[in-house]
Amino acid sequence: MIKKSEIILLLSFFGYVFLYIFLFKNFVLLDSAFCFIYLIFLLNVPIERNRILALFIGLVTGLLIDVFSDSLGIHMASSVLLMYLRYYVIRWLTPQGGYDTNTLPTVPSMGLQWYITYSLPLILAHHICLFYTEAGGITSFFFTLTKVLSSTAFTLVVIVLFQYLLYSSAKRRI
Amino acid sequence: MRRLFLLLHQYRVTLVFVGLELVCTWLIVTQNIFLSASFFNSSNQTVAGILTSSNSISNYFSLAEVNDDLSQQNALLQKRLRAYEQSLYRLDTRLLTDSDLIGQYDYLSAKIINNSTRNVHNHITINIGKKQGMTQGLGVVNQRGIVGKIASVSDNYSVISSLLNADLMVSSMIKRTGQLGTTNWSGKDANQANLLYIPRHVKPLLGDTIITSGYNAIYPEGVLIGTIEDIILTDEANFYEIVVNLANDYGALSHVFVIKNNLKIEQQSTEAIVTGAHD
Repeated sequence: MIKKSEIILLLSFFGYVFLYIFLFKNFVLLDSAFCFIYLIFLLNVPIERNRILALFIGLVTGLLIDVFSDSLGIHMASSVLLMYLRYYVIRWLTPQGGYDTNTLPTVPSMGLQWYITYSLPLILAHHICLFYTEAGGITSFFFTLTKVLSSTAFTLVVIVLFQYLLYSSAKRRI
Repeated sequence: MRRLFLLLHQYRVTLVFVGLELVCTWLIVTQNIFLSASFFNSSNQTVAGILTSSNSISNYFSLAEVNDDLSQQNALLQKRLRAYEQSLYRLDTRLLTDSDLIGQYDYLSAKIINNSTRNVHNHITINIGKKQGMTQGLGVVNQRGIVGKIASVSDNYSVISSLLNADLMVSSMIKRTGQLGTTNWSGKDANQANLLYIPRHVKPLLGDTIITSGYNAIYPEGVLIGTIEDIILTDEANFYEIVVNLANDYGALSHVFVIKNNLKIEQQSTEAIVTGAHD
């Protein structure tokens, strides 16, 4: 029996991946700030026990993005890294009394401050991995660093805005 | 042994993580080999089909520019045709009579369905492939100049490594002096590339035109690349550092021509005989 939450997860996977491929891939501010909207899907995967499954979710998401942007391996490596680090960040941020079952790590259920502390280091790690792999090393270090920092800011802002847009507090899961 | 299994079980997530990262690293390192396999890139039938339908929507927004481009190109071709008809006397009669040379280059028209200019390795997907006679390594141009080189083909689609791909090296020439060099994109500005290996004794000038050399049998001689924007020569360097303003606007491409050199095999096999003799 497929649960409702799994269907929502699957729908949001295709939703965000194609939103990125068709729309946000073309939004580049000042030729350096990219918006990787599909990270919202990876960040909002429910907090659960199966960490290996989470790694494979990152792998498949990265593969789909890579196939559409002809950069095989780059988004895959970064997304798997994000999913691996996610567990440690979530554990580090555990509130007193632990997480409720089936909690989604979103702004409405966890609060804005928690969400930013949670997503900022993960987005930064993802972008560092992504842009330095793409540049093929640290030859143009500061140019790539500009890309990393501006893209992190841009992605974070858009992801938080999307939280208010789509995950309203009415749908809040307790 | 039991303790080993316990240890492996304890670190299983990290082991899976390291394993997956190794797979990704292997894919990135061997990307050029896999790109030719054409399943895991945008020349894949399904992926290209989706991109085509997305492109058919965004096409409408650039119709006016495409029209302008086409009419300009038409005017240029008309002008060249008149000039050609009026040239009663040509020194190079072999070009006019040798059917092999007249038909040396085939131009196949193609439409772009996916394009990127902001990555370090940029690719373009076009809507013709193996069935239309495409093979890996063909040159791609448009009316404004050079575009790139075919990296991968599937049945009906192909992926181009655009000139804005840090891995692509184009054999080029300073038109005024005839000096050979290599054009390579630096990975930063989509309007500028570097011209490498121009030795000290040559005197390039700002504004000099850079064209393809025609030496590597991919592009015909004289396809426009750009003009020299900046020249730097440090005291100890053997070569100039030259910045080239690219002639093409890679963000605004819509239609391109793939060049098929029908004498490529003959040229390369002849060259191979000579290089083989030296070895």
